[in-house]
Amino acid sequence: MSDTPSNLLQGTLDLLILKSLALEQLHGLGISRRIGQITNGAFDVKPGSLFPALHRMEQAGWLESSWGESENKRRARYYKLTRAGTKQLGIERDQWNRISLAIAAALEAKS
Amino acid sequence: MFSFATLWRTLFRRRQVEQELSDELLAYADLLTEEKMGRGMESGAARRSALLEIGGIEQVKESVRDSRIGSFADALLKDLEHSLRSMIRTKGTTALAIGTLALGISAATLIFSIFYSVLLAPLPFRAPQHLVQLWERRTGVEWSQASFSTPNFWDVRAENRTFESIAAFLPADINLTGSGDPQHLSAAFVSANFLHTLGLQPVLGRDFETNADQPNHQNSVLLLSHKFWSSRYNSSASIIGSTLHVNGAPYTVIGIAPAGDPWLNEVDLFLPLIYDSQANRGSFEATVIGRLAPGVSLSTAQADLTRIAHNLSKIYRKDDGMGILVSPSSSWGPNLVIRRALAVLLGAVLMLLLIACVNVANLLLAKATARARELRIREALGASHARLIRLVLTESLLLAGCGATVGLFLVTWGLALLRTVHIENVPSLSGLRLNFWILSFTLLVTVLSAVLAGVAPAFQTTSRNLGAALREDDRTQTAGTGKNRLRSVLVSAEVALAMILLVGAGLLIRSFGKLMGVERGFSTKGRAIATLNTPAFDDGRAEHFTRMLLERIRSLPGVRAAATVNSKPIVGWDPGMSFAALDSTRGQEHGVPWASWRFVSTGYFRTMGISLLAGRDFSDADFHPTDIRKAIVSAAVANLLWPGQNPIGRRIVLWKGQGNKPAEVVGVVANTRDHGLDADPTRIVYLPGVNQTGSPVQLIVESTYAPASLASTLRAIVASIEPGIPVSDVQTLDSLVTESLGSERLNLFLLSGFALLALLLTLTGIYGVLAYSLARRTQELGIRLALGASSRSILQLVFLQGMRPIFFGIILGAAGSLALTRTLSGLLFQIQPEDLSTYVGVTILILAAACIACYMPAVRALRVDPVIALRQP
Repeated sequence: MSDTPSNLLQGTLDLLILKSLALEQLHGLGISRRIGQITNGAFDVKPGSLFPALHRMEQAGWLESSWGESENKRRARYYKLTRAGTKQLGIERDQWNRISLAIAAALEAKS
Repeated sequence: MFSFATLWRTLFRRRQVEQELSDELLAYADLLTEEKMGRGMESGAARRSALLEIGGIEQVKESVRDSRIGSFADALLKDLEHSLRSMIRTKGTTALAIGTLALGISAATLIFSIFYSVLLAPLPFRAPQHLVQLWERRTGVEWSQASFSTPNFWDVRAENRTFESIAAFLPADINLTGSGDPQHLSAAFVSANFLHTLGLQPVLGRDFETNADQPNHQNSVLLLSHKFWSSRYNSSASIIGSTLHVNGAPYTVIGIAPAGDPWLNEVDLFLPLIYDSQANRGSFEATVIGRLAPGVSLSTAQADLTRIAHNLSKIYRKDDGMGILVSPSSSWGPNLVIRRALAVLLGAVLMLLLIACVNVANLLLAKATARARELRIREALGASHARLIRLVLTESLLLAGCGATVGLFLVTWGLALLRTVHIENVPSLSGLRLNFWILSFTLLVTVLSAVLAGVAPAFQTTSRNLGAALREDDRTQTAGTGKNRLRSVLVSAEVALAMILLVGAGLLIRSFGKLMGVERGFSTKGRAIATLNTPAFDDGRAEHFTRMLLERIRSLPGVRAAATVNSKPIVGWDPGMSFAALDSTRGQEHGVPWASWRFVSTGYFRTMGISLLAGRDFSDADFHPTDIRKAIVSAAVANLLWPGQNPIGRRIVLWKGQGNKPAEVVGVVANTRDHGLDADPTRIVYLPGVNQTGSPVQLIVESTYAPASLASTLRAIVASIEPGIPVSDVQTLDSLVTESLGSERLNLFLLSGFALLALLLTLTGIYGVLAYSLARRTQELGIRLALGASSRSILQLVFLQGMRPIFFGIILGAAGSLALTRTLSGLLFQIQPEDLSTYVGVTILILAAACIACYMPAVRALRVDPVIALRQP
């Protein structure tokens, strides 16, 4: 699961995918590129992790997919957030904030 | 609901789902290529770089499949389908594997079902944890645990403060008359609350009324045991209310007791034990059980009983240290020897199963080797290691499942067989049924077998490097070493396990031989025994009856000798007493010694073939002694009391502490093994007398008659002297000895059977491994032959290769046997578990058998025509 440059923390990938789809629907490569963009290149998601995650999230009901045309008139499968997906984004964001706060506090604690 | 829909799509709309996935990934690759071309890459290079970045479209597909809901079920279905196809393709191997596993699993299940019903099944009573047994003890005469006398039982029942109820069970022989030939039955006199104490109800009719054991109440009622009811009356309900004549008196059948061990299956009838304040306090024959009152612990009950015993010995002014001991019902199961024998058998059958698993593992390994390329290709096409292991395990699980199914058929058949077997000293197996625990055991061993048989092939399958395997050709000239090493290890393991079982069986066989050859002290040749259940005659009538009987029998042509005794040799009831020399305390260093007593007629020693060592046999005059009672003792008694001295004319005190009856020793006879052949020679005091105890007379006849014809002659003679006396159990003394060895014979039979099966399975294993490896080496051997190797050297080469794992196995097996046969020590008679000749014999047997198993494939390999071998594709 090494998605260089940084390893993805368990569960982070879902959050990033949800976040990347918050604005508009995207195809697989688009999602990968958007994640790279919003994380300033910190994460480069490879298809080996991306597609299993997409299919899993679609089965969980957070995403919906349909065939569409890319900007270059190519056929591609587009994913967009469902209502449940939007809700899940909120949940995961809160969770992440709590965790990062806790970790930050832990790191700053004087022993 | 959503996931169900997806599951359905995953499993049954596979083609559409797969097509979409494929399209999606291709589209991704196209987009990526385009992106790269947009950055100025040339189209071919862009495509290549894109595919490289994706990292294998098939691998991505596979991981998407794995992440789907239902992917596990989907894969399982596919694995099952694949396994089935592979099993059908290799029908012979499959049948062999299923047969082997069925054999192992069914044998293990059968032994476990005996183990369960004898040792693990709860007692068939309500709340057995509150049930206890009570024993009398006399510290004055070193009795630590004896049966109860009935008056003490009544007193304890009346005075205790810690029991909900206490009941007595007193076995007795009775005669059933009034319908055809008189019949000798075993009955038990029980207190009215016996079933109630056990927490049971009659299965039909009613129980005794609570005052049925009080005099002057309705006492002439009885219960039938379930066993007697079903065998004699075909479980007919109409028997309730009818009248049976027991010892001549009419009794009404009021109910049928339930079946169960102990006690309930031991007798035919239950009669009320009537309270009698004048009963003999020196006769200890009753089994007393109790149910503790709620909240009472064993130690509280013990304290209460000690108080009662103290009071009783004060009232009856006996200074013999009376005590009462209480023991929990958990000790009611069979004795230690049987527990150990069953544990050994269970261990042995599990080893057999292990061998079966190893054999199947070997079969699967051979198959896996042949399939190596197929599996490599699957791996190259994106199957993960876990998936491949799962594939192989699915197949072994399927095989084990089929084996268990076939095995369960064998089990139901075997259980039906076992239900009819009666083994001396082992509780009846008539209640043996498949139940939850036994089926759970079957399931457990099935899964374990599957894992054991599948784990080696599974890891062998995936352990090697992909490229090397793809390069390795099926026709590689010499067999790969790594592959064969694992199979050789398995053969060694098989040989080791088989050796352990064979050593165990060998020890039992040697022990049995010793047992049959042991000096018995009596002779069985031409002797038969019959049981005559005489009623309680007065002395004159009993003596008249015995004298007439013996006279008439002895006058028959073909009869060489006849005599009576009050207890059946070897398997019978063994009455005993304390004894001592009148004039010394010799032999009492470890407490007052104990001896069996026997009342015998004239001619007993001649009839039994017991040799007279000193003094004389009883004369007619000894039956009416004018001064002191005469006695003949066994050599063990004489050696204990008067070592190195002449015992003739010495005085002995019999029933010491109970009646202190003096007697004069007039003869010494050889020791006999009257407690069973494996018990030490018995100390016996023989007294002249006839049927003084009310127990059945045992008539022993040395003649040329077969038991059946003897029986009818005896019935006629008995009826002509005293009508109404049943003659039963007419059999040869030889069959009596055989009967007494029932559990030893069963052990021997089962363990030898397992050991032979183990050897057979091992041989097929050895044969299979060698034959398979030789088949793959046909070309190599052909080249060797063509280059001038002699058949002798090839035979040697092949033979050594086949035998090497066997040598290792024997060494391992010897070590394992030394460690494990210790558990047999309690079951062996005059044989040490380290018995060298057994080890040597077993080693020779294994080597000889293995030679044959190796010889056949070796010879077949030699017959190969080098030209054909070399041309083989």
